[in-house]
Amino acid sequence: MLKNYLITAWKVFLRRKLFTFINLFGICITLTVMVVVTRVIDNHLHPIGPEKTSKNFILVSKLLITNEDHSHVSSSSPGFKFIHDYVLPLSTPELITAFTRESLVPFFIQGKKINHYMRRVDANYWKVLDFEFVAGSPFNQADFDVGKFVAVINQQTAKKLFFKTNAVGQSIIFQNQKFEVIGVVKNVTRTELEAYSDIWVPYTTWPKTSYRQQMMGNFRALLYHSNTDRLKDAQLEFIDRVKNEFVAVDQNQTIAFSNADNKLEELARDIFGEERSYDSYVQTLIIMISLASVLFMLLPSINMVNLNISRIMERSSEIGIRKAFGASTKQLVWQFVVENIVLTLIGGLVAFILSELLLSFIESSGLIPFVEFKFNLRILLSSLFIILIFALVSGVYPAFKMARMDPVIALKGGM
Amino acid sequence: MLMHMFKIIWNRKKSNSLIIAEIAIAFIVVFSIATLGIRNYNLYVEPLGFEYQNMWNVSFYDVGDKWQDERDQQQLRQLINLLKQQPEIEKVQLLENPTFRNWLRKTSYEIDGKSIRFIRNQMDDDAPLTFGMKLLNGRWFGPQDKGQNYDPVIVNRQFAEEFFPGEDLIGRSITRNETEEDASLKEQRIVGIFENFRQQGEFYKRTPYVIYRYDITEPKGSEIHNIELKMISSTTKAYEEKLQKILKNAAPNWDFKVSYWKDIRQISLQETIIPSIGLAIIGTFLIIMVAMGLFGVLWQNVSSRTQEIGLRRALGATAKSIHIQIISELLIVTMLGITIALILLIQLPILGVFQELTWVLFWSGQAVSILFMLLLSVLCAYYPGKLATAFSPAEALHYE
Repeated sequence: MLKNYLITAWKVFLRRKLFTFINLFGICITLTVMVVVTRVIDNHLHPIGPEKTSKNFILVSKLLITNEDHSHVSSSSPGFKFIHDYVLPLSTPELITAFTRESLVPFFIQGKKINHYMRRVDANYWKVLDFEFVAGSPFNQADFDVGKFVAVINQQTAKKLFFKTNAVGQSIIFQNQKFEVIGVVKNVTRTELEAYSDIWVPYTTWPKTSYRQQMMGNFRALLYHSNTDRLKDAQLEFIDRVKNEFVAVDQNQTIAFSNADNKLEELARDIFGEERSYDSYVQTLIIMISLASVLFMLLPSINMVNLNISRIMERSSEIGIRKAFGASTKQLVWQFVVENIVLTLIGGLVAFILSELLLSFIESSGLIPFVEFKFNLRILLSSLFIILIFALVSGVYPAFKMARMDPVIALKGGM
Repeated sequence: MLMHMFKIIWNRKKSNSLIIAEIAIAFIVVFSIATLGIRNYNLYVEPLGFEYQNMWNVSFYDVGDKWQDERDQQQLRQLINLLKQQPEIEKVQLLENPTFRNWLRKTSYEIDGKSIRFIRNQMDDDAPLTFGMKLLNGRWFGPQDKGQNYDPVIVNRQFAEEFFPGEDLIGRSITRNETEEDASLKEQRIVGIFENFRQQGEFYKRTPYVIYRYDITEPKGSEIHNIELKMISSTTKAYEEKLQKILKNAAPNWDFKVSYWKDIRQISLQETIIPSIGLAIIGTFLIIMVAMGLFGVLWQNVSSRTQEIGLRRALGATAKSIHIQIISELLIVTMLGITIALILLIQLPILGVFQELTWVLFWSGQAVSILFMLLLSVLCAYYPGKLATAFSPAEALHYE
């Protein structure tokens, strides 16, 4: 039966090529946009670089301190003191790493300025995040503890500063400090916000120790556990600690708010989160994304519904004959829906190729440094899901309309 | 004639209602893009109010320590004097919040029962001249403002026109006077009115703007993290290496970041342009899709109405009048769609959802998109309409 449907569908597509083309065009545009958006979000939520361990860690990146009536509010990244007092002592996580946000340092090579990003990190950083070393190795706990002047750099920096990848043993100077290069890693994409940088050095090499007194600053921390389920407990332990054990430094700011989020929770909090809240906004995010996609698909769907309905007459004699020979409405609905699914699948295939081209253009344009979009099963399944939804939304109503035609009228050719 | 067309449309209300819905949604898409485009264009052509050529920005911060007035001002003063001696540098100025970035200080309060809100910034004495700002009335800051019992401020034209229309503002005080406590505040006296200083760059909306005088030699002065340098025109970017050395030697405890106004402007422009281009591309494809869809639907409709058209021809309608009829029918349907969209969209300025969507912008966006949609529907209906006139009456009446 399905084979018959497919053959009829193919014949119908070929009969009026212009209409098939118009339909396909709409499907392609819509699905290309949907697939690209899906893949960009997927890339953010499931990194493939050093942050591929992301399902095993949660991030502390924001701190807000305030008072009872919220007249003295400060909000930014936490400083080292906060991380040291409230994050590092947590007992649930197997590993905790503290590190700074990346900051720009200028280098001058033959009179030309080259900016590089630099991050100050600890020894656990290399265990929590899975960097791929092309030469040398990361620094260890002992190096970190004594504040040894060692640095890990990425391939691009090695090429730019030393004109070769194996830069181990070379030294780099910035901010009046000299570091020995002990490791070279593969370039990290800009979208992996906690891993991205060009140079990594131990934060114990900081020229001054006053950063240790700062409640607000530019630190962040990752809490790691090899068992994903235990992260929930780590989250609760952290929140509990911040809520109940916060000791104010400034008498005007006695209450602290901070969260430890996984990738999805963090994204949701960035977009919809309210200040001074421990709620999760994942649900809001999912609702809003679904709503936005439905709204976006509305126009193309109505367009397809219109086209398909106006073509009922074209099929009227076929419908009449099928009905006269005993086909039920249900069977006919099925047939038309299958036809629409086939057409949408063809359009979806083209959209897939288009989105691949578009993404490789984004990759090569350098708009987002070192970004890489890899294809995986999850993307295939979610794209198929989107295609199916689109096919049903645009196909069911016309199918019903066609199938419910009065056979007598249909046989006469309409009206 | 018009009533007759409405009747024809009404008779096919079921299929027409879906077309109307499609046009209404398409219209909303066109309107959004048109309005965004008009807004950005209007803002882009308006002068910035300052010049960015040969301007460098040096931002500095102490990595591990908080700003301490006495110590850090002393160091900054020495740094400025050192920079002033460099032959490559023409002018050294201070500006609290740098240009082409999103760092703003907004203030709002009431004076004499009038509520005013503006963006504030601080500059030192010669800064307005160095930045190439245009004075409309009064004077810039000067040494005569030092040690007075008032704080001099300069305001932009929009501030004057929006809050004090028709008043002579030179010498007027804009000190906050809401409460008893405010009485002890030092007077803030307007000494000059300038054209504009669109600090964030071209694509940001115009706002009332107030500039306070910053004096590095006065002990109180607030925290500042930027030095603006005007270079002599022959200075190239290669000078930055030397500049970094001078800065680091003079103030080893600070980290310096040098950037060029021109480059930051470019980045800030791109932040608006790139997403707009993305939206415009998606919008264009959606509209092409809608246009092709309408074209297809109309073609089908025309062929299914062959008999009706044949009858009209037999009763004396000319080919031209049939053509006009088909086009006008779609035009009426389009106008119905636009009306529905308009009723929805007009809620935006009424409810004030977007502060920047003024009535002027709203109606100019409407005008452009209405014109566009009508043109689009004529284009979509032209060929199917032509097709309808191709049947000869006898043929058309026989058609089954």
